[in-house]
Amino acid sequence: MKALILVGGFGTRLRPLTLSVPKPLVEFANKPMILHQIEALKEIGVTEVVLAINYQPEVMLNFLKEFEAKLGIKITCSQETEPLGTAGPLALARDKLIDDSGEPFFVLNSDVISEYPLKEMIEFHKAHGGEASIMVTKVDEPSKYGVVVMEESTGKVERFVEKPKIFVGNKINAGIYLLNPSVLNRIELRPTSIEKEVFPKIAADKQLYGMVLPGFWMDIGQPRDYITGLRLYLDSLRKKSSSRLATGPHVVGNVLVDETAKIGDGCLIGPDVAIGPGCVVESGVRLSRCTVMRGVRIKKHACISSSIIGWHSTVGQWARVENMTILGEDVHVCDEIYSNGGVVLPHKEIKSSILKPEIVM
Amino acid sequence: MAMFPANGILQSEALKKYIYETSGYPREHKELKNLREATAKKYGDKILMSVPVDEGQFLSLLVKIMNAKKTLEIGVFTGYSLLSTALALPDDGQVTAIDIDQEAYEVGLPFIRQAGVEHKINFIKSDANSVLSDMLNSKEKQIAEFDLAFVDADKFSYKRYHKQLLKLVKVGGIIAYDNTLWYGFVAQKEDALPENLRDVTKAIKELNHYLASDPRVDISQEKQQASTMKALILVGGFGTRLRPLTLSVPKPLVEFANKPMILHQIEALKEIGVTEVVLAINYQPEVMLNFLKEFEAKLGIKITCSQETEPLGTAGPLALARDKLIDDSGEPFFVLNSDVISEYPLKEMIQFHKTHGGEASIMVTKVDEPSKYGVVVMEEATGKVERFVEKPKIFVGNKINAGIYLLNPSVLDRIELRPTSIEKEVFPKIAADKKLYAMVLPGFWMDIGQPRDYITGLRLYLDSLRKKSSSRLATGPHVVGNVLVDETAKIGEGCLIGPDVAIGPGCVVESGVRLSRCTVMRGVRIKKHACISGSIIGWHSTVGQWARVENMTILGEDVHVCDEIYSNGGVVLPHKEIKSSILKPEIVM
Repeated sequence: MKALILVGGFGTRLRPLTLSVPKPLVEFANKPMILHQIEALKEIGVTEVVLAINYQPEVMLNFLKEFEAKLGIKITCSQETEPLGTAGPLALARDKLIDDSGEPFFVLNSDVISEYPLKEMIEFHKAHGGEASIMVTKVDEPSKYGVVVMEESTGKVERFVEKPKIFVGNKINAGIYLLNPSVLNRIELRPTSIEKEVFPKIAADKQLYGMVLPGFWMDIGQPRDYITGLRLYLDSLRKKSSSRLATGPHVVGNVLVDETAKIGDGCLIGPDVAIGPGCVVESGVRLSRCTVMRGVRIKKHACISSSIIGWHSTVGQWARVENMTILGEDVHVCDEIYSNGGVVLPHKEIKSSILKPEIVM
Repeated sequence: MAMFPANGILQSEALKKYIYETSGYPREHKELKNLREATAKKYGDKILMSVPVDEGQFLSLLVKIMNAKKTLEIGVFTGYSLLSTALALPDDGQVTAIDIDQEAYEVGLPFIRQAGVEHKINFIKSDANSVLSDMLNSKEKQIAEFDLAFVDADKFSYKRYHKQLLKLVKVGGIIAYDNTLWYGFVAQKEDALPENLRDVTKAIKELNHYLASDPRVDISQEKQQASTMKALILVGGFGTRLRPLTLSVPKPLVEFANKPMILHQIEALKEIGVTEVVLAINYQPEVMLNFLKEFEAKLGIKITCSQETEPLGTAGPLALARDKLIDDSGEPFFVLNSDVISEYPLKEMIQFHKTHGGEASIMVTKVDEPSKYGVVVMEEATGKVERFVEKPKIFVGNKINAGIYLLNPSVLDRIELRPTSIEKEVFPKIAADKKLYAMVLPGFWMDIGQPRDYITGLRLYLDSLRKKSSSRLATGPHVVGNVLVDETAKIGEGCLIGPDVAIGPGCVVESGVRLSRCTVMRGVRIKKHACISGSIIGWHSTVGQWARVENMTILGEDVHVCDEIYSNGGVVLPHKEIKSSILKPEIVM
């Protein structure tokens, strides 16, 4: 069985992190974003994953060689020379996605994290016998999204409504599809939107079914949602394999700590924290609702919340970092500095406090 | 000791290097090499007193051609020519070598011994005049006995030695005088010479004239190749001040006036004969190295990188690149700061350096607000630097460090391989030793490491271009002031371009566009009726129809400003689309 992951473009929403690595390689819960999806696919027996990309293929390819070997799954890239939207890439990768088996293939959006109930999706797809299945997820404010209107009992999709002004439903496209090869016949090799052009046609043919995604869902393509997503993910991890979470008197709530990270005395870590490989958290540090990337050093008595600290950065003694501060790679926050929502590009030193949210370049 | 020119009128560094590397060093006897290296180590700059490898070979050839058995050498120093001679002589040959400096001879003696030729040498510690007189007065068979005499000593005495040697060297023998062309100074007008070299040049010219008029001798004057000159460019780090441009390319490769910043400097160095440029970098070496390969070939200059593993400040990189910067020639080397643009009067700087004879020269430039910088306080007449004052609160002077230095190799002995500041640690010490001199930079100067100064710098640069080679500037009814347009760019009808605009390769400026005080990088498209001023438009970006872009708007690579948009100082990172106006300066990420 095969799968395509829509990796897409420049990852500008996740800057400054994506100024250092392409977005799929940015770690989420101590693992590159794309690896979460590739592992989920491997687990249900997918043997080949195609990454539809249009930016920095060399970096991606190097990374992938490493993981192909480790995971025992074939990973290839399909590179767009011009942006092809959300459906065009499928046409481009046609030859890689279909073989004689006639089996359906998965399509995933690379920014999405969820529990990936892919086995259940395969069953659902077989049961309804339609041409395409799409995961949908329930949201509180559907008017911001594209809503999928479907028949409750069967899941058969009636129509899509972009940003509905009146209430038509509260399920939105979760970015996980299972498609029969015949879907590729509906897609031309040009910039095409799968939600606006392809799916409505399949729905009109009464061949499109929506399955409500159990468990959590988040589009972590921007920092605010990345931080929320970590909370959801760690909640889920607590239920499934809580042994992976950290324990101890210094831990509050769900905390993930890489085995090579060091945590000093008198710290209070959590809830909803991920600490990456090689990190050093000195004594008396308070961390909550934050991600600390590989190689970071947090100095004594610092206090960090709701932020992301980029690779190899340092946060100084008694520094206070909060409110969606995002530090890029190799950023050094001096002692006693305050950052309220500072967004700092790589290779910078912060010597004076950032009092209101701003970009530091 | 006054410095001799790297580049007299005869010199060709590339040719000299060719000779040395083709037939010089590969054929150099091991002990000659060792001797040469020991001389460089002990004497540094003064290695100019020793003969170079090709002259040693020529001397050796003369000895062999003559089947010489008895030779005389006046002026030994550490013994390079002496060892060359001794190696060429037959086993029963003899060379009598005279020099007043025995200590120098002892530097080379171990190598002479190791070469197994010490028995051929009779060293006499003395002034040559008395030894030669003794020989002449002696009744022994020394008269008319030498096959060959080689004279490499103080130039004022050459004429006197000649009279004596004519009697001591046999008829049909050879008398060889080193450096009678005196780095080319003999061909220059006296007032063009540095004062301290005028007397000796005069003496040599008299000798040459005397020899040429002496019917008893046949003569031949040979050109001597001179030394190579090297330079280091401090490229440094991440170029964060020039973001978002430096998010796409390393700073030295960002174009200024349609040419990569670093190429302006490399070309200026090449023009005055520098044969090797070392780039001190600590970021993105691969990108730099690829670029450099291309330019090494095109320019015919050797470009290497010296990569810092930790930031070494403004002086540490010199220590790191030590082996690349000094060779046996003892010549000074240039150090340039990569953010600086100026007219690069490097030839004048070399003359200035030779004249004052100090250890280091530094260019300074006049500024209006010296209190923001490090001020160089110097003696007006000579340029001798007294001290440096960082951001002075009271007025001490208005000259600041322009980031262009010419340093003797001995300066490297003052720099340790650790993070060091050249202005704060190294130069003050040289100034205290009264060996640092400053020259006021003629023409324009700008540190273009940040967008505002980049834009001002373009104005200064194009002004200068107007004076020097105005044919390179664009002309026509659509041009106002100084405008540089790449030949592959296209400009539509009804445009008004300038003043102070640079348009890069492959750009398309559609009709009715107004551009002033801006830089348009490679591959940009400016759509109809747009109006851009005081801004930088990054590679492959587009600016929409009727868009208004002004006040230090900097667009990174591949940024697309939609039609009718207004940008007031927007700083936009690469790969973005601007769909709504930017009303006040801000970063768009």
